[in-house]
Amino acid sequence: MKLSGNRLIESIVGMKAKQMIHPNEGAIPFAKFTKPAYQARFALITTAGVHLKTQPVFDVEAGDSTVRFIPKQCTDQDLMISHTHFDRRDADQDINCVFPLTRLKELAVEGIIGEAAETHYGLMGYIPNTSMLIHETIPLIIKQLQAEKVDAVILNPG
Amino acid sequence: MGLIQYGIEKAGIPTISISHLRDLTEKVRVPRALYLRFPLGRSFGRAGEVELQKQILMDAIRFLEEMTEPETIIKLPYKWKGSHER
Repeated sequence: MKLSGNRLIESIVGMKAKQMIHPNEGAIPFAKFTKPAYQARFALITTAGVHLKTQPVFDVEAGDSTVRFIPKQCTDQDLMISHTHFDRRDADQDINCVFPLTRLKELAVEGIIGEAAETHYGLMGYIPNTSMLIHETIPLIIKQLQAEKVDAVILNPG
Repeated sequence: MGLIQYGIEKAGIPTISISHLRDLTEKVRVPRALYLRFPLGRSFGRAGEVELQKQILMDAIRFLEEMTEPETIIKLPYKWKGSHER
């Protein structure tokens, strides 16, 4: 039986996700986006389990909280998905459904954004134990974003 | 994903996320989100929908600029056509 792809199952997944969530506490930070988009450098982060075919697959059932750095130069054909908790039928045909790096690069060519960052980030969204995510993975991502002087980040789940 | 978005924004880099479950995103509390009634696995549309994929990215960029306070969630107008099963 497929575990994803119909509303009943997805509503159960949603309820499960609600039990698992970790609400952010206190004041929610807000960094103003002031640079004009056509001059800005953007990075994508997805928790849909995207990575290069040459990188290790995610250990989904273990709640893998590691990150894969995805270089800007890669093509859609270089990428794969190893998350198993959502319906991948569209994304397996077209990775842009969950990781629109090719579209982002097109926006740069069209002059709508400044550029796509050198590095983008693939994670897997099923992380029951968030300790390593908070103490290792997120700082690693922030360090790379800062090193590349990324101006804004667009995230999507999986 | 909310923890990642929170951490990056706290480090001073503006963020916006796509949400498929509005009440979940309200509970998690993030700086900026776009709510889209598409099933998971289609945050930017279906396979081959190049223009919609690009449009949703441009919406994200526009609302990065336009949102003025944290925990803002805007519903995008796109309708999911057909059922999940095809």
